[in-house]
Amino acid sequence: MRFRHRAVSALIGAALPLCLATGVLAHDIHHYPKVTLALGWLHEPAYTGFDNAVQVIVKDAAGNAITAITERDLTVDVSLGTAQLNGLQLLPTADPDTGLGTPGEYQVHFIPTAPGNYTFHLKGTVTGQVVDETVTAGDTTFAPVTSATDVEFPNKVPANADLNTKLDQVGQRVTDAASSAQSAAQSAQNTATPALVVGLVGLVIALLAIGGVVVVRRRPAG
Amino acid sequence: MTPTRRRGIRIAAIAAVLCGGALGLPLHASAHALPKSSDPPAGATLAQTPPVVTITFGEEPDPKVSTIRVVDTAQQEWDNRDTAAVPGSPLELRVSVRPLPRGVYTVAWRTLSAIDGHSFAGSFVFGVQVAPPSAPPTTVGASDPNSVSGGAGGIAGRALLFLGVILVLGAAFIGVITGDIAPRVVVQTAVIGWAMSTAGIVGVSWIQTADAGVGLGSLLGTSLGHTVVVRAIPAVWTSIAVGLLILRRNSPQHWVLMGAGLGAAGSMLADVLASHAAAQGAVVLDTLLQWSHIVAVGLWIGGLAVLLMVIRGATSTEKRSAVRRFSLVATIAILVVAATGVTRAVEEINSWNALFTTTFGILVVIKAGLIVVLGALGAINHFRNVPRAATSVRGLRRIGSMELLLATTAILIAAALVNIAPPISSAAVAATPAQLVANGSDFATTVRVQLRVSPGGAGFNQFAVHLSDYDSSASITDAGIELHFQFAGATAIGTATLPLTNAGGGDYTGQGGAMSIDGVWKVTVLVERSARSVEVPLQITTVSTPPHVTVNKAPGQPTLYTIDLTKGRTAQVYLQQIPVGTWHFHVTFIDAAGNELPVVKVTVVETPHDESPTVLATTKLDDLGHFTAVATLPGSGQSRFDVVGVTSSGDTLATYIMIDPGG
Repeated sequence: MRFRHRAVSALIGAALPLCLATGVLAHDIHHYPKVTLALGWLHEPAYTGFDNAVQVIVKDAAGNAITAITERDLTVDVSLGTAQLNGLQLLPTADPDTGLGTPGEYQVHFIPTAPGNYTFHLKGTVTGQVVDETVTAGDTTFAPVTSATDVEFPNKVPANADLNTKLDQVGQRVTDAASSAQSAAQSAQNTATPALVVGLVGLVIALLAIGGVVVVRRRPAG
Repeated sequence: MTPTRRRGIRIAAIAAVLCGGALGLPLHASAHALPKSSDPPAGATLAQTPPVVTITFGEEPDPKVSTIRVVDTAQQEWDNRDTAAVPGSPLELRVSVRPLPRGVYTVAWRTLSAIDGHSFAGSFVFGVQVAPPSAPPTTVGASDPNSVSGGAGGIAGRALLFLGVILVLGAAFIGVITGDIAPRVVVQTAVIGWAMSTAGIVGVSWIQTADAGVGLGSLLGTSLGHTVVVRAIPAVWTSIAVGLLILRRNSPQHWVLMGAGLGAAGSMLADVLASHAAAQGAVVLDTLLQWSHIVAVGLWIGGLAVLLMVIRGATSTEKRSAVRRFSLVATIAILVVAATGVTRAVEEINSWNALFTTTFGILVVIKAGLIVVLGALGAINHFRNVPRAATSVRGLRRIGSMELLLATTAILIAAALVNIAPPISSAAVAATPAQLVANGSDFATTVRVQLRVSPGGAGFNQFAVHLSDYDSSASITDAGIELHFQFAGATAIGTATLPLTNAGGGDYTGQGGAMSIDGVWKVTVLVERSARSVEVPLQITTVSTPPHVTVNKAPGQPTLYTIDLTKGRTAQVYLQQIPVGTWHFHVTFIDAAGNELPVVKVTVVETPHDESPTVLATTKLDDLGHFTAVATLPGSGQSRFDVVGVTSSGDTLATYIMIDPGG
């Protein structure tokens, strides 16, 4: 029995780095002399508006979980374009008191509110090994964040961020429409004024012409 | 250098300047509200109904009297008759359309330029899920961009206007510089000019109003009404001045003459303000150049006409004085005409090719010839006849008469040129190669995306995305764009990603074979703009040659469709109502020997005639390859069924068929 346990453990130990290396978990793997790091999302596919986390799995060269990492040892910066969320502290998921969680797994939770290829910048020290890795979502790393529409059932509902933006957009359009209506009213007034002036000038000309004719006729001949 | 040689060099120099000036012959070149581009483009094949049809014009159209209509081949109208300018983009007009069934549609547009009041009309076609005929877009109504807006009446009205204001200006000018030589002649000429210009203004305004189909009741609310008001103000001013001249016709006062001249110059300015010079680009500079150009022509040609009449019967001293004063101003005027003409010509024609291949360009060349001759005649007068004016004006009168004849011809040509679109603005919508076009926006309505796929079939394609702001239509140039492809419903076919390169101006391009097989593809456009990143979902149905289908009908049996595939294989499909009202779509793949092919998976995508594609759930009915799916057929019209089967040996078989269950 002991032999069987050892054999299974050896197989798992051998298979884990292989799995990490082939990216089956959709994580980005980094090998150091004494440490192997896997960096990616906790949940994949990653959807906008749903809780997720940057997940880091840390093993030593023998494939054993490294658990002696404090929140000051490793931090991660998350960015999407110029939007940044810096200095997030990674926390272990394993609870030694209850035995729950996974030794060597560290997470920091956040809710991605926009789709796109996020970038994780992992930095710090693991058992004396300096770590500084920047990884962006892609086919060979981890998944981009996408809308959850495809997996929503039975109703498709928008993400809160999209809903909020749409309300802002509609509000601005209503304001613009009201302003445009006011401008149109003012423009109509501006058009009427010159028309009135032209009419009055025409009237004056007509009166002058009549007056001229009267003057010429009254002028004695010769 | 002898005086004769110096004189010859001067003549040559002036002739050269005039030749250059002749290139700017459009005394008043006007552009027109002709289309520059459209969305959807002419000749495009769309995957789905566009929400709106938008046309971008080269000059601002008046949305109140411009229209866009979308009609099908049966002349049924599909637009909502809500043609309006795109907010923040006055060069664009758009009209919303109802959901379009599969078919070919004609976009018929008609515009009234908000700048020069000219009307034009034209049309182009696009297809929804079918390729339209490859006919190029046309410009009709006024025939084509080379034809004359307003017709012969328009030219006549404009010619009267030009000749009239030129005569009034010339009369005022000569009246002021000649004093009391022949006041009645000056006043008579001014009255004739005033009558001609008034008739011209009325004629031009009436023809433009009639062309645009604008009623008198609604005239003031349009750009055309504004133009009429702007023309009327200097015309009324001139009328008052001419009236005062009539009252003092034997000794007109200089300030009244100058008032009449100012009125004529004002009428010229009003005409320029209603021309292409005031439409776009450096508006103030172009307007000043154009106005200077026509005022200079008025002083030169109008002044010459009145001068020749005034000096008849004058004393030698009066003749010499009048002719020399006129000659000085005329020389300056000719130089102004040349300089402003060259500048405007470069702007309006813009290429040597257009100068010789367009109606506008050819008229310019003819007029250039006239102006060269006019310049030469003017030089002869300046250097030979003006010095002799004290003793004899026979030469001046003879050459001057020839000048007036040629100038009148040139002005008539100028009147025609005004009503023809210059080459720079007549580039109509170009026919585009066969391509798929899909439009969409994000849920929050922050951006609009237009995706063009060329040639649009399965395999290698060029992809181009144009990204613009949802409200202002302004191009968004600072985004990152990525396309995510997923074949509708077929999990066996993996997803693909294609990052696009920023090509500038809101365009992003790339190429690749992401759409590997024929059928319906879900394409998600990821627009990366940091925290404002959004996704725009689109659907594309690849363009393919319709497969050969054999139809077998038998009484009491469902109609059997046999679709030819490659390597002698076929797909047999039929629709069956079990129970009545529920349609089942059946498909079986057959090999070249007539045996049923073993198929492990089938995907069926149904696209009803005016709806989005739906992936149908399939059920395998036997051990080999007979599959069925419940269809969502609408009450009438054709539906498209895209079928993809994967055989046990891994081959992918893809085809489609159009079926009208009621047909």
